[in-house]
Amino acid sequence: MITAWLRGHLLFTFAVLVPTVCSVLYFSLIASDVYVSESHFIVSSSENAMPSGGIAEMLMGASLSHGQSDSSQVHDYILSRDALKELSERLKIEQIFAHREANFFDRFPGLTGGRSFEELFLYYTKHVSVEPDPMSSISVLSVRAFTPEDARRINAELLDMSERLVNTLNERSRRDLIQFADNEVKIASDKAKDAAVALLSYRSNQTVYEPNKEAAIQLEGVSKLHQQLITTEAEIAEIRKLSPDNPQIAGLEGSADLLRKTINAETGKVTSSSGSFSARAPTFERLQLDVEFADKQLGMALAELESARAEAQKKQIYLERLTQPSVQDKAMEPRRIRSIITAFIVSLLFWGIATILVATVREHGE
Amino acid sequence: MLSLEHVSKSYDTRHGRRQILKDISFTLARGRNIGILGRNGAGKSTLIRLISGAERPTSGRIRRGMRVSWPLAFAGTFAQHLTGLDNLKFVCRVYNVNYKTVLPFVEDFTELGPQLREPVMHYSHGMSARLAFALSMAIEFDCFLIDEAMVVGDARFHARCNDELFKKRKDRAFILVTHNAAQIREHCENAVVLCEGELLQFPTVAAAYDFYTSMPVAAPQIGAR
Amino acid sequence: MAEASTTSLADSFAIQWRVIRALFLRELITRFGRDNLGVLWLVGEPMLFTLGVTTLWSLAGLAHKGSGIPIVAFAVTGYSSVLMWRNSASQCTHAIEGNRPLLFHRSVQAIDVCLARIALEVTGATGSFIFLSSFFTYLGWMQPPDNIALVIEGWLMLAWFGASLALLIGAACVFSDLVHRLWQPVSYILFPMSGAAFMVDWMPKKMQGLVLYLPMVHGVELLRHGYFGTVVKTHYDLGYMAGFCLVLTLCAVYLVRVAGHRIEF
Repeated sequence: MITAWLRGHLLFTFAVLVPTVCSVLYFSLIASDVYVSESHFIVSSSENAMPSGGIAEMLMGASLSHGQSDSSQVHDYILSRDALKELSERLKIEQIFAHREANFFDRFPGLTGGRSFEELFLYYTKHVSVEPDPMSSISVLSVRAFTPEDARRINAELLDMSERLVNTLNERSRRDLIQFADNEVKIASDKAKDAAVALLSYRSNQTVYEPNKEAAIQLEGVSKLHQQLITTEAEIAEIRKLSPDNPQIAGLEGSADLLRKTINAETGKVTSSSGSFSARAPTFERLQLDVEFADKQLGMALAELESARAEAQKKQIYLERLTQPSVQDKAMEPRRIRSIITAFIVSLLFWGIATILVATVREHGE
Repeated sequence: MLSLEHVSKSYDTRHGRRQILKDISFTLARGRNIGILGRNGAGKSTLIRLISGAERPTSGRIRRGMRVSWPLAFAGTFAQHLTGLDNLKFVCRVYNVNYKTVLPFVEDFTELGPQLREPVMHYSHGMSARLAFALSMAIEFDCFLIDEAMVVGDARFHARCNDELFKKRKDRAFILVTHNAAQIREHCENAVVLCEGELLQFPTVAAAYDFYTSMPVAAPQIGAR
Repeated sequence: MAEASTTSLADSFAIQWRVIRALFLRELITRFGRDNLGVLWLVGEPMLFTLGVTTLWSLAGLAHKGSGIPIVAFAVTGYSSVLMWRNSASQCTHAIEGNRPLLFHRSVQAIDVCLARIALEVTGATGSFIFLSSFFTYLGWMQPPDNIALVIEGWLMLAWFGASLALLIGAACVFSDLVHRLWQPVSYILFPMSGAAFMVDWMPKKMQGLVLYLPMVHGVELLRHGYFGTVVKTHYDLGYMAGFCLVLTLCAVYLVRVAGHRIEF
């Protein structure tokens, strides 16, 4: 009698009864318990401001704040092939996923039977998920496995690996930031050294220390000689007036001439074209300027290096574990009752649509 | 075999529910025909629409064991912006007929000439009716629905219709709905009278004719829908 | 059912297929005629719409800094999908009422008229999408899709949604003129919320939750995920969209059937 009814309601049988019975069988007998291990972490940097999340941000579009891009770097990494590769070096991930007690459909390699790395990766991405919490920047890492301990182990290992990644990233960004400033300092100090050496060797070659000052001293001597000359000439003139034949005159004139000659010779030392102080001054001045400039540059480069260090310090990102990987003592997945009800409702919907459509199609045949 | 079983039809109007057809039953075998007589407002057009399938009965059922045509010469289905030829192609596609095989007949019957390739909205009433009639002749139907009121045209058109329908397609079934009793007597082998939504059966055409012609003219009802 | 059917389901389906095809061709010529470009307007009309919107959006600078999507590609993927569900539904508002006399042909049913119009709109929108994206790709303004399978999946989902929505609207119009009057404003309000003009990821989290109640948003996001790949972060739940469409389809086919039986002259 039942078969007669089923045969009379083929559509209902195939669209509703068969799928529902299948899902009941699957979820009550076959489906393996799946344990979820969850951990919460936050990726933040010291300079990171909390995302505003207002209408302004919506209008401004995707200007990601640093914290988000940092955490998405971690998310990307967790779901990457690199992470899986590293993970399978540390844990026997393939064996964990191919757990003996798990049923044929759920465990790795599953129905397709392939054991390639790509298939493992596909399986991995279906069992590991990392989601940002919508209201905060907390990330939730959940791992599904067939025993609670396996799930926890994978989760913990992934957290460790993420921490290492964050450290590597920090190291790299630090290096990138400081390297440039460091280089600048090196160049500047080289230049400063060169300039100092050039000045020093000029001094020893030319046997001068400070041409300007030395010229000034020279000129001071000359002006004293001038003074003496003027005094001597005045003396001569006075004696001539009183007694033109005074024998002193010849002696005085001799000394005046000597003074004049000395003055000429000494002035020549300062201003004459070759080897004088005034000829040496430009070169000396240039070398001195070089030294000053190089010193200033070095100071600037050093300051820059200091600020780059500070910047790098600020850009450091941290992965903070808010909760350690959890261990479930009861499998919460699969949600058997819920799945069965869902399957039933969906197949009912299918049946409803199919029934009406079939009736509509039939009306076309007269 | 076409059969109506306890077919009723009522409409919601502003003055409440109005029953147009009450518990109508009759059958029509392949190759037979029936004439339905009725005064204006008796529900003839409604009955035609029900049989053609454009509308559904409120209760009861209609079984169609043969291909029933749309009401003869009914041009309402034409898309006004399309040419006569496009409309012809559409009908042929719906009824799975190669339009090239029927085109000569349609061209000959409608005498539209180049007008066939003009939009239907430029056609006169008679031209549309000719095209519609020709189309229903071109498609192979087992049973024709003829609403006398729809077949408008000159005497020559009527003569050609009669020739196509009653002479060349003598073997087909048809349902002729008219208020003209003489028509029934001329073409039908059976006749019924539709009176205030009820179908009255008669053993012979003559009996129906006599009843209908002697019927007192009922108070005019609200016009046929 | 008012009559017994003597034809097998497959034959009935063949008849329906024929009818829809005939109606499709009839609509095609009625709407676009044979003059100038003729039926090419089927693709040309939505294309012009999309081009116009693309130009407007480019001028308005709707491009989101840092989003990494060129505005042209953004507009083409967004607006084409809107066209599909909006035009389908708009075209169906008058489909059954306007074609009532066609029901005199026994094999023409109310649903066929709607389906033919939907097929027309979907074909047009699809053609326009394919043409525009290939053309812009040729010009170098767009990249070829990252994952064609996902693009097709998203497009099919949107087409399903458009078709079921259109059927529902078309049938509802038989019951009340109000539906027709309301549909126009509703469609205009739905357009900016449909995900065509934004990516869900650009919204604040609270808005994302609200916007994701709309099924077409999921479709557009899926489409863009397929088109742009990982350049954009997308949020969609195919299960939700499929469930929504399933319920919508059930309501739609039921209502069309009732509407078809209710037709009076």
